[in-house]
Amino acid sequence: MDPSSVVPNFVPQIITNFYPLAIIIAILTAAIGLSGVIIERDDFQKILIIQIVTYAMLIIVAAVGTDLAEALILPGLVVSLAEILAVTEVLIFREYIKRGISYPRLKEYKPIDMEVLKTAIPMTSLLCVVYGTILTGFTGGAVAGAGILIYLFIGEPKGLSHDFWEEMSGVSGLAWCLWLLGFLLYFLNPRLWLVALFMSGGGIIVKVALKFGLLGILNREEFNK
Amino acid sequence: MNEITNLSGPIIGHIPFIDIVLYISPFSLALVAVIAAFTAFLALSKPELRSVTRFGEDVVRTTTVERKEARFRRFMTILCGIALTGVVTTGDLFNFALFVSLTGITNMGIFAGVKDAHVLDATFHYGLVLMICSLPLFGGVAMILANTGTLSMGVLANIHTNPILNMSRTLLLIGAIGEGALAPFFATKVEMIRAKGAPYINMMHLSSLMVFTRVIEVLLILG
Repeated sequence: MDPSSVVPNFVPQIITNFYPLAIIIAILTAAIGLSGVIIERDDFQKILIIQIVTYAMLIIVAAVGTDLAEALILPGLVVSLAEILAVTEVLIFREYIKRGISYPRLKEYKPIDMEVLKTAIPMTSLLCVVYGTILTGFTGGAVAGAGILIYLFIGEPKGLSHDFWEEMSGVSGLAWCLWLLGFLLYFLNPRLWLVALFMSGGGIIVKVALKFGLLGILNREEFNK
Repeated sequence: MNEITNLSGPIIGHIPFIDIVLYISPFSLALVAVIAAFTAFLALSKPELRSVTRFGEDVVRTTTVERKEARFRRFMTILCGIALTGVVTTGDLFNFALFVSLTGITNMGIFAGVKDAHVLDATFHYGLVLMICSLPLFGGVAMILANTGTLSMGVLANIHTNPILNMSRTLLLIGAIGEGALAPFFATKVEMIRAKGAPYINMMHLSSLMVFTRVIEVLLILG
């Protein structure tokens, strides 16, 4: 089929011409990843290198460049994540069986003492949170959440009680309700689209950001005992 | 719709599941009946007790499967049956790819709890093949979408084929072969089937058969 019949007229020709380029880049990426799998002998390294092949798959899906392709990337990403999790579990279980143990033995390690790890953390996380707030929506929530995550993982926050984070998870749930209400309003009364947009956009950023933050709290509570 | 009705008889009904469009034809109904019967048979049966004789000893040992492990495998078997039902009834190309890869993951899950280093080694390599083959599977689907602008099999059946579409179909075939552990990739499957706990591991044969049957039908529909 002629591509001009599928692509709408208002799409510039240069955008359409990017598609073969994206496919070539994806094939090159896949070739790099597959040659790495052939060369590499260590099983764990193999899993990491195969991720490059998965990225090539995402490039091919993203190259379509429509709303539908955007909706298809997420299932593709979830499938690849599920596969890597399952393969990693099998690898861990196999190593336990081979060594005849049933629990992990972690090595003692000493954290690297660098000044930049103490001074750069608040600035980096603040930049992430500000930029995420400007972006809004799901992407902004992810960026702002990454900022909170960096602060909780690497920096050592003081003066925040346990109850504070419990309340934050409550706020996350309320923000999710706001998001749902925004969508509902959008369908019930489309004339109020601006209010609905702000409700859902604001709700999703708070929800996603705080959900990312919860990962950091889990890290603090589970591993830093 | 012409190709679909030529291949598998008149369409009996659609099951609208928001965006997952399932359709039922006499062909898919027969496949679903086989899957349901086989899954029910496996889910209701007990794990085997395998006897192992050793050279140099006058002993016959009976190996058992732990209750927890057997329950996990039974769960994975039922999940694999559900995924296969999705594979044979779906009318959307991307959902077909998703269900095929879900079949692969559940297949791996059936073997993941086996306490045998050889079997786990083979399962690990099967998992690597799964991850690599998601590239041609989803890549082929995405190229079909880019080329024709649709993913619905009912619409795709009426579109005439061209060289790029043929290449996408080849990619789709390679991906489905890898996920279903078919011909060039089945070497690890042979090792995996040495695992104990017989009734559940037979699900892998059924999934290979069903994925193969369905992918051939899909390729004929697209052509």
